[in-house]
Amino acid sequence: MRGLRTLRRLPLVTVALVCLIFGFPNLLMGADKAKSPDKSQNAGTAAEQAQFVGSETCKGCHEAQFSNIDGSPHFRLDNSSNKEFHGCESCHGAGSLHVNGGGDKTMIFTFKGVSSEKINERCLECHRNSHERSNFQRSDHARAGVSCIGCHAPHGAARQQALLIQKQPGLCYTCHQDAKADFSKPFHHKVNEALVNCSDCHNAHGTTDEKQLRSTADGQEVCYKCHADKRGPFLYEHYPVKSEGCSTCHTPHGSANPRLLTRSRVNTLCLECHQNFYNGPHPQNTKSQACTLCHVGIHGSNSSSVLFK
Amino acid sequence: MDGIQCKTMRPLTYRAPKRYGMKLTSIYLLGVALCLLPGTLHAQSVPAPAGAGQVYNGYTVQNTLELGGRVTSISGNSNMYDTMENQQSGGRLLDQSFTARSLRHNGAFFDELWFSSFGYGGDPQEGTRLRMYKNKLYDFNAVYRHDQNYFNDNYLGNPYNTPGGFVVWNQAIHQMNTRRNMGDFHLTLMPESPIRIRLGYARNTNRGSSLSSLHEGTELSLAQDVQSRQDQYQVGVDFKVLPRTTLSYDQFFDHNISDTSYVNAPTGLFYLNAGTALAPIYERVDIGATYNTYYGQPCANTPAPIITVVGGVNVVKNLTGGSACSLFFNYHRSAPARTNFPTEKFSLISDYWKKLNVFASGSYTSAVNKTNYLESADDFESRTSTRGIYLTGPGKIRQLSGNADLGVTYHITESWYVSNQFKYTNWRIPGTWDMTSANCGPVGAANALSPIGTLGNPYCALIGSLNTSSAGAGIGSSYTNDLWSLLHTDKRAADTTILGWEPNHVFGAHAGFRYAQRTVAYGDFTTGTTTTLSAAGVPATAASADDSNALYPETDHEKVGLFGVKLHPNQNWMINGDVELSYIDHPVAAILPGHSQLYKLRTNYRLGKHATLSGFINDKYSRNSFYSADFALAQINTNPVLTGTPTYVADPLTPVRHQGHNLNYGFSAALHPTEKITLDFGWTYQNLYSTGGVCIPMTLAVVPQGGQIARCPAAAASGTLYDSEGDPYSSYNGVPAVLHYQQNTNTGYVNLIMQPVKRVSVLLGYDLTSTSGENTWLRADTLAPFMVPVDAAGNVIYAGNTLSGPLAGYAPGPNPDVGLGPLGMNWHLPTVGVELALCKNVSFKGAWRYYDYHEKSNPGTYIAGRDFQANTGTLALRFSF
Repeated sequence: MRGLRTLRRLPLVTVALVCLIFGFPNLLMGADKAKSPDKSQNAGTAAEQAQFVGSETCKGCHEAQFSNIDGSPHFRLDNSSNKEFHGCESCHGAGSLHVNGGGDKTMIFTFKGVSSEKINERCLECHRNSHERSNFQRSDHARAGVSCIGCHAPHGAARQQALLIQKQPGLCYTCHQDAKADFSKPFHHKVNEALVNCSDCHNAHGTTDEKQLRSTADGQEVCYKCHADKRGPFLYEHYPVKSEGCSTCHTPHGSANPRLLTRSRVNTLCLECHQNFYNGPHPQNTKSQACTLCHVGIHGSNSSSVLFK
Repeated sequence: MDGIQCKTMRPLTYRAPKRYGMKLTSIYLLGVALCLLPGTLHAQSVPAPAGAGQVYNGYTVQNTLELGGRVTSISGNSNMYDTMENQQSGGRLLDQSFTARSLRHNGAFFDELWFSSFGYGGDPQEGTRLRMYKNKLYDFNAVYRHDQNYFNDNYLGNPYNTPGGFVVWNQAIHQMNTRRNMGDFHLTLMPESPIRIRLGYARNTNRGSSLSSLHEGTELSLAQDVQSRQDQYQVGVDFKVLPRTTLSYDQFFDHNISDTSYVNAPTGLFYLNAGTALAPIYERVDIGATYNTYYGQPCANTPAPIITVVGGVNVVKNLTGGSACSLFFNYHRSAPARTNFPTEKFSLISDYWKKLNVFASGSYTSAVNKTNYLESADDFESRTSTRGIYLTGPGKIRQLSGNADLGVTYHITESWYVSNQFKYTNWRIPGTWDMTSANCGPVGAANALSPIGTLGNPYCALIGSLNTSSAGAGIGSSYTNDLWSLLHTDKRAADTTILGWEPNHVFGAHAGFRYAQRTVAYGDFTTGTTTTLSAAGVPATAASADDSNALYPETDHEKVGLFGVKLHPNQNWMINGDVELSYIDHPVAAILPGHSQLYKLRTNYRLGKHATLSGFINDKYSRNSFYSADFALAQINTNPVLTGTPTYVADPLTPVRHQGHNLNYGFSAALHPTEKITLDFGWTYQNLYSTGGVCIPMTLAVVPQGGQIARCPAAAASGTLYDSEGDPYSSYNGVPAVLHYQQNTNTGYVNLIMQPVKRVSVLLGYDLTSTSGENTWLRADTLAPFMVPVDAAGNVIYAGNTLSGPLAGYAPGPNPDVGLGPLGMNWHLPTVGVELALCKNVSFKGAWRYYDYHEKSNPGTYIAGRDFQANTGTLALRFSF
């Protein structure tokens, strides 16, 4: 019973710890204020601060953009009961100076001519607390200066799903021509055929793995999501499969070689690691040059230490 | 929408009470959507233009539908066409999309519903994607995909048999014809509330027929009935405990089922012949997939011919003892496996402090795989003169893994930031197999027709052979009860720190360092008993041979320098460069890079809507001068690992270590000079190169061109050298050689889309992939090509083989009769398409695609060529409304 009571208190303890960790500095630094009308990037005099004017005012000059937003998931910026949302001004900042200045572009935040970090900061104000974007700031894309609007178009996206400028894989190919070339090779994952999306294996917003690859729930290669029969665990593992990953032997995007292997012949691939055969007779001038003719369980076996089955 | 009737829904004339109007509207639209569900979307179709569609009772509805069919003709190797493309003739629902969006965002069941489909009716890839959401209530995504996976490329794994009317493999020995069906479903409840619930389910089935093989005396071809399924469940909760801070818990449960089974495939069947007459009852036997009597495969063929033709049928002589061919009457194997992967995961995402971004997660998995293995065969193995195999026993394998990630980014100033990513993984795979195996011996003279003796051996009767005797087996009957215990472990910790500087929107740079340490270990332990039976069936039990290997951990350390630059000279132009310099002190395998350098340069320039130009260069160079003591080639162990400290001797391959590079570069351009013309073209070149030393077994009597090569390890030292498992090297003499591999790939494409007149669009396209290269073995001593003597038939000549013809010349060794295959091929794909707008919302589409696969080298003397040509025509009507 004592243990049970302790168990029941655990969530409370966890929440209390979190509050303590984040709340204590807050007490020292003062409460985080609700978002107030911010200064536009080139505000007027210090005495003036921009004020929110409302999306209907924006619509007066920018009707097309207004309609676009209204027809997209971003309509919530105007309709949400969240006091921090101010429609168009949620992204572009308070617009009074811009309106009063007769549409002065310097008096409002535009997404042109600013660094990718500033653009991303705007978008992440709302979109940060998501598992998909939790590592964006440490991602390859962020470091390369790819901003949110490099792939997404809040106004007039060609692809309403996720507001993409272009649907996959064409969008990704605009920068990753090497991947486009790979998917044109004879043996390839069916990306061009729309069976697989780039985002099935990669998270464009970044992950904790290299090349922004996703992983299974237990942290293994994303390949096992579809190729579940290779996942194991096996009694006799083929070590590099588990430790080094599938790309030790396979080229995931595409290859001229069958089975997407990195080498055209199986024995060339195997012998690069298995450079001395312990005791077996494997004369390479006979059937033994076809390694997988015998070593069938190449991804792991539950019954053969030499992966025969 | 008029005239569309859905059986599941009320007819259109029904008028619901107004107060339920929106709900019924939503139901109706959902029903219409479901009626249209078996549609298709080809990857090249154009989505409905923005703003198009009809307004219906508070929803904007857009629909596209493309119905048609394909006609295919193939010449050449149709197996290769089916492996690479597999587009067959037949009707199709090529493309379909449906979108319904609530105008006022107050739909009863959804604010937006979208789904699209493609490929139904016979395309090898088919799928449907769906998304529905209702503001603040839920967000639902679903994907269904079907993939017909056909593989029949005879280049891989082929035994390269000689002809002669016997076993010839012109197809892949591991053919596959399987269907994979994958469904993924994700539901988020209350997506904008402080407590958010996420539910997920995925199902993946893979079923079909394929061929496998088994090395057991000979190489038996097996029919493999593939049956596997994976179900994945996920329940997650997000708590927004503080502003910009989310605490999450996820529970995952994956359940895998594998019921794949094997029986001997009905190929290569022979009649068993005891002389001139066909033997009774057990005349049908399988001698395996390998047939090359020059090299004594499947058997020594002495006194020849053991495999011959009698009475018009293929026969194999039933000989006694080691001269006989190993053969199978039947074979069966089943190994059902059930695996559970429960995973618990906690995550924290926080931007509570404006300048600090934190992500942390920790997960734990305790997986278990339970198998129940059963293998039995009525066979004759010539090497051991045994009859019958029986192997069974339950296995239990666990995978225990813990993962932790911590990522922090701190914006020091407007221009400077520092980030750190720590990643820790630790998994161990302990497994046990309570194995019972039996070798059954023949009664009387050891040959394939000898009955299996069951006396004293409780397992031999379980094989199910029709030819058994209750007498004791003459030789070879034994059974073993062993408990195998194995352990694999891998523990890795990596920390990456990066300092970045972005003073303005034009320039940015970063520099960083990664340090990682990894420890891997493997060990296996065996304990049990082996019972050997005398001819009278009297058992003698002794401890099984101990093949244990102590846990042998190895640790490596990785250090990586990371550098990058980004330039935005103007709004339209982006340039990125990255350099990665890596060093691992103790790579555990020869192919893993000890030193590596990666250079990347990428640029992208957009001229408004009229042009996008791109270019890139990637170059990765790697080499490995180090070896793990376990797999050392430079270091050959002279003491058993288990009982003494390893000491090492030099080997002749010391200067030749694995090195390689992967260089690729290219450019692309997408031009849109006018509204009516789009030109899209690009070219990419890849050079893949690797080289490394090997010590390979080769028949001692082969004298390569240039004279004999000092063997590795030296023959005189055989018996005194031990491998990493403490087993002494047997007396073989390896040939030191250098593997030299180079693959050059050119990939190019051009697509021209024109609209010569208002209603007509024309597509002209061409894709080309071309490879060249070499897969050469070099002598390790002189680095000259490793050339072997061959006779006129291409057989490698070696002393002692009386079947050799006179020397006809030298050919690239070790196997001169294998062509370059995909290392030298052209793959052409011209395409022509036209779209004609017939009337409002209806257009006709036609396309022709040509496929031309051609290998530049001879496929090999005894194997079918893989070239093919194919034409596919596609005709369709496209409706948009």
